[in-house]
Amino acid sequence: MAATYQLFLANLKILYRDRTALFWNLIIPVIIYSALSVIPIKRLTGNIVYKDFVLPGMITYVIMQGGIYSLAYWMVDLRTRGVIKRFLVTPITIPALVLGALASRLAVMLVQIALLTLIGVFIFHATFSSNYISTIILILLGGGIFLNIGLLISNFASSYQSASPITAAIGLPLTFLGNIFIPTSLFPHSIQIVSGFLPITYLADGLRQAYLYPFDFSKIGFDMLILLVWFVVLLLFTFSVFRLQED
Amino acid sequence: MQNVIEVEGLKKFYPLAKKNENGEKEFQAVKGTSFFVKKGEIFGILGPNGAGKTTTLEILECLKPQTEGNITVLGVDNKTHPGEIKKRIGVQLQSSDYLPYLTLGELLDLFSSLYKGTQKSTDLLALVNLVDKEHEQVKSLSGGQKQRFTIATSLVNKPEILFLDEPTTGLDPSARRNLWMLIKQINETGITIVLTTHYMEEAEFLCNRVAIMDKGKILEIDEPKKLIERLSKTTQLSFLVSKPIDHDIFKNAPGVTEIYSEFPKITLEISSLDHIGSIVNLLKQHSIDFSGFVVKTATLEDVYLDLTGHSFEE
Repeated sequence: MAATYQLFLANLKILYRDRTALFWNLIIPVIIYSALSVIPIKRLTGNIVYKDFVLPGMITYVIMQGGIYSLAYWMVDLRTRGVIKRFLVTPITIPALVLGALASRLAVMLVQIALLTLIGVFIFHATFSSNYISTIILILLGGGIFLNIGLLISNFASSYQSASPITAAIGLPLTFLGNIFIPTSLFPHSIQIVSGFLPITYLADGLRQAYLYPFDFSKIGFDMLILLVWFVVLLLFTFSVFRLQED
Repeated sequence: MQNVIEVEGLKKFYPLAKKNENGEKEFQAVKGTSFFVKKGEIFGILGPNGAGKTTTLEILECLKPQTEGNITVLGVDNKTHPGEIKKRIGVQLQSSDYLPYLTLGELLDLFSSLYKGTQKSTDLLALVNLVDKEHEQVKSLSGGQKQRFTIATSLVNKPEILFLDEPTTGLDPSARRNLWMLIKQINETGITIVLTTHYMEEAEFLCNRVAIMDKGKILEIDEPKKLIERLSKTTQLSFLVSKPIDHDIFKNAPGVTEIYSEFPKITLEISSLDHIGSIVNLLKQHSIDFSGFVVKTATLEDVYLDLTGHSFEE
């Protein structure tokens, strides 16, 4: 665990010192959220105003982006430059090595989410129902799912060139069909069916329940259950196929 | 002397994406090699690119599994206890990089955290003469400095064996010699060193014993000097003469085994450098005017040529 903790700290240092990545990870989501919040859309669906609808949506997006894009590219970069190989000749185990990278990415996600929530609540007066525990459970499940997907992408992508189309092929449908920025209830029925199979739909819905309404397990529990199933399935799949080492 | 590495019948196959011209689905990188490394020695694996040197080394480092064969490193089986071996060895890979944005001191501390019983980062930086770079990042280092830092990272756990994969490739002659001295210095502390190289001069200067490897096979293992001495032709003496001479004057000269003459150049094969003095005296006795006196001794390159029938570059 000491090695994992040191790797976690080292990864955090890297993320902090890489000012370009810091800008894109922290500032750009805030700018996008701010721009979406001031768009003069009152209501897209039901009684929810758009700035309330889009805050959990934006948080869902940064969780997905942290796994599918940031982690996948980071791991591909480390592998192609031989950084991972250097660690593999030490006694550190592969799970410990991966856990250090995942934990640091999760920490960045938490900072992104906290920043977006603070700006949403204090500047744009977005609704936040203080369901802290539900919110954290959903973030951990969502983070776990998308970090797993990021690991799997890095496993199958041998280079940046091959990682790019894979991330796009996975990330784009999730962004447009995942109930993030546009309610899927506005889409044709067939697209809603597709959306119902995506984990991001349940993360966005669960976070919306947690942010906008008083705690109601009968509503949020279903989203959590679906996310848990996705997480377990992806974790088992990752364990069975993930390789850092060549044969 | 105790053996710290024992390799028996090592074979490594890599799957091919498609069948090769011989209809094979696998490429055999190492073809049943056996050797041992003695405690405290510098053991070199010498061969051209594609000889199987790096594959052999990476199997010993527990980075890759062998297809066949038995290996013990420090008495530990590499298949059953790779983690135990990794705790006791240091490794410099042929090509590797470091986490970005971290200073040399931070990287050494990070690597130290992966082991128990480690050396201080400042001591290691002093050993490789990089103390003044402690707070700088790897990207600011020159090629030679980066290689020295890589060796420092491989010493954090006070290893019993240090593996160096082509440690001086790409370095200028001055940086190469600096690294040779560092490797000797590390070896003098009692650490066994196993290195691969395709530089003959490096193998001759550094290694106590050398394994000559070609196309996945080890052709010969011995001390560089003994490998050279085993050649029938070890030393050549050549000079220019001002007028044609009678070759018979060398017939009874001590140590001369062959005479080649193409006026104005005379070349003599001699069995030992010790005979040079008597040959010079012989030339003086016969009042032969000579110039351009050149002595060429055999090198490992000649040994390689003799063993494989082709030079390194072919």
